[in-house]
Amino acid sequence: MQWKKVAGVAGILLAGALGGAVAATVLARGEAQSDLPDSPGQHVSDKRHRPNGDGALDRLRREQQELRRRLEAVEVQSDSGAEAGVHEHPSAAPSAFDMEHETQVLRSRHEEWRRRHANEHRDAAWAREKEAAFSAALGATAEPGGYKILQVDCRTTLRTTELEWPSYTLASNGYKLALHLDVPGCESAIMLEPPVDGSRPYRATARYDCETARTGDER
Amino acid sequence: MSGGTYDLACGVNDSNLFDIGGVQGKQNISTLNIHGEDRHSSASVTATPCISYFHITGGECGSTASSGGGFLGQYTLQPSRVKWGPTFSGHFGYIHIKLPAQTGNGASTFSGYFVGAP
Repeated sequence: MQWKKVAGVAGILLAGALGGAVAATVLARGEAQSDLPDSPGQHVSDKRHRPNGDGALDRLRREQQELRRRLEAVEVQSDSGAEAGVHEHPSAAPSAFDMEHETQVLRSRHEEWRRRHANEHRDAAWAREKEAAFSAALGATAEPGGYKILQVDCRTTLRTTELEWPSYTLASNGYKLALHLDVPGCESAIMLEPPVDGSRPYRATARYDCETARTGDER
Repeated sequence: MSGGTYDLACGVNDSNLFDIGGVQGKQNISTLNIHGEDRHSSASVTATPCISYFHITGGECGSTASSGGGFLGQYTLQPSRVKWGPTFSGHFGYIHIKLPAQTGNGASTFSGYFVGAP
């Protein structure tokens, strides 16, 4: 439940009701005053002929005060909820816990990819041909990407490449050239975990799923 | 830019606060049309929907769509949006577009893209 939204809507409704009550009060006063003569003395005497008039105004004033009190309570609750951060919108900036959880999800995803690749049969003829083409495509982007190609391993549909950069910073700058490799029918993924020592050479595995390329369903 | 080619990355509007053209979040996109003009007689224009991980360096890309090596003229590319599915809804989507080098016919172009919901 989005507390702030509910509180906001309740506030709007109460504010609307409060406005209505105020308007009703003004109208009631207007009606009363329209019948009233100009002088105060006459006003007093007129009130005697309107026994229910003050009663209605008092009732409206009480309702107005009650609505104001409830509106203030809603505003206090809304503010305290926002300050405590306990009712934040679910898409608000994620907490450290969310980050760690999401990182774990991605680690699992990449680990699953690594396992599938390791278990996949190697189609020797296809793999040799594709490894050559793949190495050439990677080689063309190695210089602007700032990486060395340590290994290319094609199986039947999955390929991995081990890449090395002089540092993590350079890896962060250049990894997209490996991600955006121009190989039709292949999906790609790469994740760069922060290293303990960012100044040392940094290695990462780029993963390619070429199922579409194998089935010939290339666009 | 690499070897005369141009690499573009276009961010994709992605929000649960506003309804953008009938689409709330990239996972609800059902149509993606990428338009421009291919003026290279042998190389092609390519477009790939990708994501950048929101919390760690890295990302993923789906399959690339291509205008075709021998194609000249106005293109409409409709690449697979597999990386914009619900699994990746928290990550930042973009389209990677590669334009071939300029030739005597002029430079190839990317005009824009259309996204639609069901």
